[in-house]
Order: sequence, then structure tokens, then C-alpha cells
Amino acid sequence: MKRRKFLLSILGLGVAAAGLQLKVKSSKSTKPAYLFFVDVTKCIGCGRCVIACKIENDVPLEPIYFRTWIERYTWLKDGELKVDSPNGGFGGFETEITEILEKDEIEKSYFVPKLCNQCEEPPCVQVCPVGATFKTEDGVVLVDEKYCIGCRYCIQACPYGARYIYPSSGPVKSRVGTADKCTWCYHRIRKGLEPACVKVCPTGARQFIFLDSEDQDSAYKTKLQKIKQLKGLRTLKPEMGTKPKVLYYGIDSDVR
Amino acid sequence: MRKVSTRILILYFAGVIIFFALRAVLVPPTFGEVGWYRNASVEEIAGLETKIGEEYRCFNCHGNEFAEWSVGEHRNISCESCHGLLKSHAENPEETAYDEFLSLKAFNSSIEFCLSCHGVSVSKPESFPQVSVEHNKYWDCLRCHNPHNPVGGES
Repeated sequence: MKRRKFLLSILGLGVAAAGLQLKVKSSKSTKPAYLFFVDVTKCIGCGRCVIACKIENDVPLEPIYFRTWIERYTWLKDGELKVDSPNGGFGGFETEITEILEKDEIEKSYFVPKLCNQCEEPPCVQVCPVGATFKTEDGVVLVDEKYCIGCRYCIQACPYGARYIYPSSGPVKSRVGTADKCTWCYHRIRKGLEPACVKVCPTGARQFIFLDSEDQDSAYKTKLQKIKQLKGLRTLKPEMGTKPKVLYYGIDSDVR
Repeated sequence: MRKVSTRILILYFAGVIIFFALRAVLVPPTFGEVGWYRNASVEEIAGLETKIGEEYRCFNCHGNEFAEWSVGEHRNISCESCHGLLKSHAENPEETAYDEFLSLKAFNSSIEFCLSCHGVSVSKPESFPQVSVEHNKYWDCLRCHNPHNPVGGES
């Protein structure tokens, strides 16, 4: 009996030690440093953002790979909703919606730019089995291309369809077979530059706000104040509990 | 009995040592420093090269264009929106490569280029200036409009 007790206590000690070693330092409570604002009432669907994004981030130019894309939401008079996004809106919408649907049937129509929402509670991070996708301390969800095993769990988990598997046709060979997604141009915003899509947006439909950068000039503060005053700000699929950080202005609740 | 227990002990400690040895090899460096991820990858991604519009200071050279653009209706549009990603040109002004996707060169004509934003569409905001072909069938837009100051610059 004594021996058994002794063995058990040694086992217990060993487990405790291992547990201490394994315990990951609990991540500090993160404070989002950036905010993305999409004013749908300004978007003209020119698609420059989609082009700029693909070039800036080495996204393959083929039609099915996007870090950001534009959807065209059209409501018919009978209440039916039609959504299309030919080639993700790359370089604009060549076919006018009135060429697809009868003009008299259309109640209203507008463009909705989509991108990663950089959720406060990202489901993609939760499901990643290897810790290859994660939220940084400044609140951006990234993918570690060296560590991603390409299992596609995150693609299924994302309610916004923001992720894809980088194909072998893409220019960055080290990224092939791993999950890829919008990073809000993390390599730009960390240098204090606006994301590529924001930079080329001609109408100001896409706006980026540095919340706590040291060289924060008053332009961002006034921008933020203006946005906060707007009524009818929405996020996409708030019922999912993901707490998205892309704020939309001018969309209906049907926009998902 | 005593022999058996020593064996168990040896096995046990061997197991623990193997576990930590494997762990040291398999877990990549910087993993778990901040959270359940490889911390080094944050800086790897942040360090990627930019391709579009850093602070190009276009107007150091293109002063006349600035004078027109800064008072025109297009003053809130960045140079890159229409001229494309001329990083190579900004770094070396001798370089005059055109952007094949975002500049005028991506379109068949300047009319097509202008209409890529200003074409009529029911999906566009009503307040946005839209022109149909009927506005002018024959002339180049640039004949009347200076793109840097499209409304005020009519000549």
C-alpha cells in the first residue's frame, strides 16, 4: 500500500510539473487597434479595391480566389432578393443588373464590399487544430503559412466565406495549400499605411481607422466621430456572436 | 516486488523525458510566447513588402497636376486609383512602366476608362454622377474634361 501511495504521488507530481510547463501564458486581453468602415451608400462597384487587393497581397488572379470582393444585392418588387458577384467585382460589374433583370421589377440595388471581419471572437481561430490561425494582440486575425496544415476547418467555420485555400497557380509558392484570407493588409497598417483597397477606393466607401496609433492625427479622430454619429450602423451576421470589426453603413438586415 | 517497481519508475521517467524531448523538437520556436500560435509569424507577415501607394510624394514632381487636382471634384481620389501602382516609377522616375490593371492602359479607350466609374447603373448611389453614352457619342471625354479637375477644368 505504501509503495502504491508513493508511486501515485510521484505520478501526481509529474503531471503537475508537466501541466505547468505546458500551460500557455494566458494571452493578454487584446485591444483592437483598427477599425474598418464600409459606407455602402458610396460604393459604385468599380472594383478597383478587388484588383488592388489581389496585386498587393499576391492573390491569384483567377476568378474564384478573393481576399476582398463586391456583391451586388438587388431586391425585386415582390420582395425577392438576388445576390450576384461576377468575378467578385474584379474591375467592375460589366453587366448592368438591368440586363439581367427587368428594370421595372427592381425595387432597389446596391453594392456591398466584403472582406474579413477580423472578428473579436473568431470562429476560425477556435477550430484551428494546430494554432496556425490566431488573433494578434492588436486584434487582427492572421494565418501562419509555415504552420498551416491546410485542413480547411477554418474555411468551414468562417460564417462570412472570407477564406480560401491558396492554389498552386498563385505567385507565392510558400503559401500553396494553406488557408489565406484578408489581413486588412497587416503589412501595410503596421507601417501606418492604409490597406490597399482603402487606398484605391475612389469614393471613400472603404475607410480605415487607426484607433490608437501614436502618430494618430486628428483626421482619424474626426473620421471616427463622424462614423459614430451615423445611425443604422450594422455588422454582418451579428447573431453569430463573432463580434465583427467591419462596420457597415447603409445596408439592410438581409445583407449577410 | 521491489524490482518491478524500479522498472515502473524507470519506464515512467523515460516516458516523461521522451515527452519533453519530442515536445522540444516538434513545437516551433516562439510558439506559445503570447498565445496559442507562433509569435514570430506576426512580424513575418507585418514585414511583407508593400506594393501599392506608400507615401509616394507624387507631387514633388507633378506640381501642375497637384494644382488642378487639389481644387477639383476628384481631389479625394488618390493618384493610385487612376494611375495604378507605380512604385517602380516613384522609386526611379526614369522608369515609366504602366500598371496593367489599374491605369488607363487597362482599358481600350479613355471613354471606357471614365465609364468604369461613371457609367450609368441602378446599383450606384443616385447622387453619384453617372453619364450615359447619349451624353456624347463621338468625342473623347478628355476633350472637354480634365480628369484632374473634371468639372471646373472645362476648356
